[in-house]
Amino acid sequence: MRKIILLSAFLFLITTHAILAQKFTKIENAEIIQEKIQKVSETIFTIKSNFVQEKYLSFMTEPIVSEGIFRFKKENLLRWEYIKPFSYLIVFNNDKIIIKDNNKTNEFDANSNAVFKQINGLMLGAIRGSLGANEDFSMELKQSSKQYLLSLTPENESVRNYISRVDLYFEKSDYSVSAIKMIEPTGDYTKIVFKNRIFNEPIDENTFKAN
Amino acid sequence: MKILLKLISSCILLILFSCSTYNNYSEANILLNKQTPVFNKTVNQAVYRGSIEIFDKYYSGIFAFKKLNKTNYRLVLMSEVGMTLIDISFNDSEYKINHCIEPLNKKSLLNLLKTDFLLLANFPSKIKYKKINKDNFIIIKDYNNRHFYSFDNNQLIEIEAKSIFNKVTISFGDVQNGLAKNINIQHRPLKLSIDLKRIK
Repeated sequence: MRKIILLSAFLFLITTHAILAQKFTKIENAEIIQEKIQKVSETIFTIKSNFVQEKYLSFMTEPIVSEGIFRFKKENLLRWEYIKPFSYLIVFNNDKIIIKDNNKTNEFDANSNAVFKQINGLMLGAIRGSLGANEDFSMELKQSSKQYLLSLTPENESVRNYISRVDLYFEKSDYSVSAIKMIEPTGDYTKIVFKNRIFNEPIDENTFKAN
Repeated sequence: MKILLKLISSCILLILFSCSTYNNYSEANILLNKQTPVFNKTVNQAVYRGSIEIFDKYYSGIFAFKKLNKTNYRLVLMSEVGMTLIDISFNDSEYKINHCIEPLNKKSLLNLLKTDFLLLANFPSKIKYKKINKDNFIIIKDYNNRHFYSFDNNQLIEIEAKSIFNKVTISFGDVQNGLAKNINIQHRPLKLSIDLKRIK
């Protein structure tokens, strides 16, 4: 019995801690914070970072985890590379999207589909943290003790069929994006957490080719 | 004329497939592990990195597959970036779409996934015959359908399912603790191949 009480108390503590860690409240002076976020994003020219992606499906007991590295260079160059548990590469090179998988390389025009163009813009904007004052989304800004949370809801119905909301987590310490959460119409979601971020170190243009 | 020739050759192929028998086999009286290497007594969910090749076109993604109970399954196909493309629940008789993006919302595709993944996870409850050859290679045929299950050393290594216009061959590779790490699904004469590598 004593064991059960102890276990319940322990579980309660963990749960409470998790809830507290995620408790965000609405900000009164949202415009000032958004302006600061925007200003910081304008000073970022390159990003090198590792990422951990977790896909949560309501019927699975654990998230599906993958890991990789990404490189970003202003304006529209992105190398998004999965390393674990499989290798897979996506390169955004201005209007081109290159996908490399098992030595098979496919190239697409990012403008070929209006919905995908908007989703690509969303991905790039989310990584840069430069999605403020965007007519395509309605926004809400909240804060916890350590983070700001910017929630973006697509205005376009066809985009909402793919993504119902995007949450961007900014660190209060430097106003940079540390995590992205993409919520789907079913409620299932993908959370990407960035680790070991390095800003404004030179990145060779060849990084944004599929090799 | 070309169409007629194609039809005739398809018929010949069908007859050939239908006539394939296992002549060097004799009746076997051996207890077999009556489970496909997808789930086992303790594991009821699987995650695969998958690739699909059809008519020289290549697609890839991640499959999350779960056995919900004795007869019902749920399957999600998502992109590597995490976006759900197809989410269906199914059993032997029907499937239900939980979510599906418009370009993939095709009855033929969803039916094919349902049939293939049912075949992957289901072991027949009624067996028509069980035969063995001199190398202890065992073949069984299920009672209701034209499905053949091949065993090597008590381990299911291949399923062959035949219908009028299609033959599906499922090969299981690198089986550890009763779970296959590699699965290949071939459709013939349709040039469709699905490769699954278990990541969880």
